[in-house]
Amino acid sequence: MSTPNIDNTPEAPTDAAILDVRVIPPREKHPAIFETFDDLAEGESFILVNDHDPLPLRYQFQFEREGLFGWKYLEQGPTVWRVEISRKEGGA
Amino acid sequence: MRLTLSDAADTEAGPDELLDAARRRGFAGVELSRDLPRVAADLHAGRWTPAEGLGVEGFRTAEAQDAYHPRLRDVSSALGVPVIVPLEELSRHAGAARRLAESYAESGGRLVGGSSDPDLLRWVGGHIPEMAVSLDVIPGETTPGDVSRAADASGDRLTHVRLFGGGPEAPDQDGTGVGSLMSHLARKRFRGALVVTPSHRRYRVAWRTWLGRRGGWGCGGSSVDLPVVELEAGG
Repeated sequence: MSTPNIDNTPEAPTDAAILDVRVIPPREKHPAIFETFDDLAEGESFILVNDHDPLPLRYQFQFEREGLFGWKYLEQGPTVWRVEISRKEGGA
Repeated sequence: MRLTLSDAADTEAGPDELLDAARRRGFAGVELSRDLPRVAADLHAGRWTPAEGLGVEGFRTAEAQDAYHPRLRDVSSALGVPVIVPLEELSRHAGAARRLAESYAESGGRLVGGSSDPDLLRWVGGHIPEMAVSLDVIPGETTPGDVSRAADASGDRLTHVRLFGGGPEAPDQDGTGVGSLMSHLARKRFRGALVVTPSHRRYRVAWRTWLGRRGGWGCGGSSVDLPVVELEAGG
């Protein structure tokens, strides 16, 4: 039985952590995302999976973690969005 | 990580209906638990087939003895679908459990032991190395430490995590620590199936309604979901 593997698309780092926030209660989503980000070492990344474009989150990152993060869309809907969020090396 | 829908979410749906609902909600797979020998045989014979992009992530049995059904083992072997059994029951007879896991492995099938107890999952590693494990995550009870211990003890043998809740229950689970549990799971590089299942029968109408709609999961998603309403008393 073949199963879909959303982890191994060409763009996605194969060793990155994956955080699927669709199962997380609304008010716990952003704290969980920042908890995951803050645990990254410099140069590491994780893949965020969501059911909509997390653009408001990106604005929050720009405010809260300015200069520290990278943001790359791996999939943009219509059902699932995946974003690789990385911790920059030598970030300000 | 593959987000997976348990068929406990809609006990009236057949495999095809369940797969349609899973696709609408963006799941990557389904986990089946009802009428397993017949359903597994139908799958094997091609009488129903998952749509492109969806997988059957497991057959979950209610009792450990169900895993002895030869048809289940044969289908697991032929299709590579793991059979997930309650570990508490199986662990009482370690020798028999090991022989069962070996028989699955020898035939090319996969046996998985499920429990909410990280110490029991660790016990498997020392006694039944042929067996993979599934962690049950119960919001409000399971701690981030439980998740870390289970992941550390099992490594790649942790192939399934079953979350009691999510879906239409997510708004009601605010404050139970699901976010931190999922963060810990991510940081442990979990890459198996994350199976969501109702936490209680009283939510069955909410799940059935939620699965019947198209769109996002709500909670600031691309569509607005109604909060969970208990439409049936008791249950």
